[in-house]
Amino acid sequence: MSARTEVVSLIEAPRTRPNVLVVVTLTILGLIVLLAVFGRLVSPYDPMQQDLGLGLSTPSSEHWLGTDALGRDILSRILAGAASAVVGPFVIALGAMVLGNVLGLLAGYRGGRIDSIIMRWVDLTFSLPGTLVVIVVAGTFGGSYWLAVVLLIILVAPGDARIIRGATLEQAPRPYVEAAKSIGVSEPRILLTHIWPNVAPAAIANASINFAGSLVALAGLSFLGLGVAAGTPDWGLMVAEGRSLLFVNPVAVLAPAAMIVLTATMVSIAGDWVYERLSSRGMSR
Amino acid sequence: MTGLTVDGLRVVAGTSGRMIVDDVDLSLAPGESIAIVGESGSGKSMTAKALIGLLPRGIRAEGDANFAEVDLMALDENAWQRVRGSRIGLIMQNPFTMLNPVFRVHRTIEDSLRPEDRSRMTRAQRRQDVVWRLAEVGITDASVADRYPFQLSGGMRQRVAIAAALAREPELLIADEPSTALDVTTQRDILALIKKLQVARGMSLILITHDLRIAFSMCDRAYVMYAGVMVETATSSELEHEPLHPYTQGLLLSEPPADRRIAELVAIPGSVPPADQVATACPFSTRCAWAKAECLVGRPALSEVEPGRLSRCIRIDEIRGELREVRSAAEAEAVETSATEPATALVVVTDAHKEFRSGQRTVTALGSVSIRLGEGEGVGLVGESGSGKTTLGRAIAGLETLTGGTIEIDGIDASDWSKLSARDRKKLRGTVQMIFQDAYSSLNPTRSIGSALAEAISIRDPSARNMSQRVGELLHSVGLEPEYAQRKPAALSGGQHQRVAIARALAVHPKLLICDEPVAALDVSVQAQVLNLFSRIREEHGIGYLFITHDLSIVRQVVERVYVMHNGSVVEAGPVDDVLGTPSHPYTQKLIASVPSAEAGWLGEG
Repeated sequence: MSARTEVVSLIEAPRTRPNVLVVVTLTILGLIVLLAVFGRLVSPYDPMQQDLGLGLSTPSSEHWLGTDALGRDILSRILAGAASAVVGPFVIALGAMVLGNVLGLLAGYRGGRIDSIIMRWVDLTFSLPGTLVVIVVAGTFGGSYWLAVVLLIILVAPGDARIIRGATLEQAPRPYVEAAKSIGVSEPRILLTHIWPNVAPAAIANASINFAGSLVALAGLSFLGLGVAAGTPDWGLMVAEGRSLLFVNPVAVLAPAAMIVLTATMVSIAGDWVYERLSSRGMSR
Repeated sequence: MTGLTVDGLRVVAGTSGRMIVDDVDLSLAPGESIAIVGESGSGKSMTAKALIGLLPRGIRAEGDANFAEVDLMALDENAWQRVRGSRIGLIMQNPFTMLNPVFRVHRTIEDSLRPEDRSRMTRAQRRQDVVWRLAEVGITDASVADRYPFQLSGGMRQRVAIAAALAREPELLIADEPSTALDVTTQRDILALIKKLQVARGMSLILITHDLRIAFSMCDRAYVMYAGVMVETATSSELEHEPLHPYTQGLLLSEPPADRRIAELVAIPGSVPPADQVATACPFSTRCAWAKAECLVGRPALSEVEPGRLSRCIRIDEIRGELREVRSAAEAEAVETSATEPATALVVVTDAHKEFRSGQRTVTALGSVSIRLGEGEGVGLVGESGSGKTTLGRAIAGLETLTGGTIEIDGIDASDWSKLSARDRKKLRGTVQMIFQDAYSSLNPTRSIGSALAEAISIRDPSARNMSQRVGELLHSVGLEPEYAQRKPAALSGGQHQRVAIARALAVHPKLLICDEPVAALDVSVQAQVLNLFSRIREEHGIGYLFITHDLSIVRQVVERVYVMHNGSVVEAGPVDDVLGTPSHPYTQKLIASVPSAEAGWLGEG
């Protein structure tokens, strides 16, 4: 048996070690999440507090990133804005993943009528101009952050469903699924504990893309005034409010815009890394 | 000096320098044939690839290899292109992937001609040349030249590949497992063709194979490789008469004989270790019954035992007598089987009929098949691919629904599992279990062995307690240590995968195991272990088997009754000794004749 044990340890040795990029990415993401939770505690000023006497100002030792037209501290607003930038996209990515994965697994595994119905719905939502739908619906019912979140879940989930359906179609005829069926494992269990772990890399990679996409989409909606309420510290809204001041205090626009880009990029990189780790999981251990 | 001389060939993985093949010496005179025999992981294919400059990226060869005054190790890619095909030809294992699917046959062969020949010939001459070359490999139907690979059977494709490999008249032909992916009856035809062409053209031949019997019948001399090194070499007849290395003998004995049944196959324990882990000892020492401390001190050199006979075993002089005794004991053994159709039938299949529809065509996989399986009985279902044997097995296991006919299992009508009540289905799942050919892919790659077995246990007994203890007991019953519960399937070897799959099937306490080619993907030495495990479990649990296989020698060892299937129907049935001993149907006779045999006459007749 000893020879065998050595073989195993050899196979296990070259684990995927996180490289520098991944360490940096995860650190930044960790900081952003911490800000989302504790941002208001560490911010130097109250993000809502106006100082009309000061008004618009450029970066200074008191206000590191300057203030906006109402004299609100930009840095404090960015720190406070992390919450709406992280929570909404996270809820959207997770919600779309759960909804899309359940539908995709069912469509791919059952086939037939259920597959047709689910996939026609997917085709339908794909043929709609998503952003426009959100703008119209949010415009009609009055924009709010959580309405935008729900709408985005419904619009994003079909993409997940399509990817998971394809991956499920690939897994369903594999002998391990038949083996599970022939020892009498129930269908929900086959879908959730047998097939899903094998399609999870795709599901999670897609969720990270969705996170980045919805972060940008939510920022866009806030920019249009259909997301968070006016005055709330939110990166998208800050870009919108600051755009007329671009040449007076560029930092007021560029700093929140940079945070949007940074967060979206970091989430994508982290998603890639998780995908690689998960897909090598079956192979290396 | 013409011919091939290889001296100290070493193949290593580029970045880590990990040894794959080491210290390989070969010599091959013009017109001579040699076989390189070994199991998977022995390095036999890497040796062949090094000799034709086709090592995968990142793997490199060192040492001396001279072929007709060309130093093969010094060639760059441009120089290789003038050697490959023209001087050294290669036939690969898988005829389904080695032909370009978008090329018609004539184009495959024309492209293989020497460029100067091709440009000299007119279109009509080229056509004539292709037809002649096809005829040489036994394809007399000239219209085959205009077909695509997907329109040809595996044997035909292999013939086309041989014609293409010979189009530039190479002096040396390397055949890498040329018949392994083919049906048994086709296998013999292809091997006979290669032998005939080799002799007719006066080529040298290197045959890479895992089957000693094929090596002996095809080649003048054989080299036996194990874990990256040659362990023994001799002429085929000497090697067959008396192997001078424990591994060669083990390999010979693990091959089940087709002409009689033996109580227990001689299995080599364990599995082939990676070459670099046994580089500093006798490579076989970890599995050898005769290994002593002296075997672990450095790797023994290949030394001459008798004139022309080299062995890497340092104890061969001491153990030679014992080896002889073991062999004659194993070969003398034969047990009788009693095979009367039992009165109580567990499974009754009546007039089973199954059609598959693909587009416009319907393919009949089963046309009116009736079989009976008794409780606790071992029954074989023998046939080649396309005979319907797997479809029948899957239908009994409820993985396929018949187009017509009935299946009754344990008194329940199981013709259509989707119409069963939940209770009946649960009962049948507990009655019939399936073992798949590819055990690795029948295990979920993301789940540990332990959780797979625990799931199977909890299906039979939802309130099971002491789960880890019960998983341990299951593993023990198939000869695995309890620690394996923590591992993922990827960390196990082929034989161990099959053991786990058997354990999982046993967890639901079935009455019948349907085994679909359960050892076909395993190395011979491991195959014997798994076959012995099947026999042992059958004795201990009284489970019946439906053993689906193409291999008559395996059927002989494990079942009492056999059904021979051909083109979707049963052509012959009866006790295994009668059917294999005195076959009455011509197809059964053909199957029996195609079981490889070490005798030189095997390729000639028929």
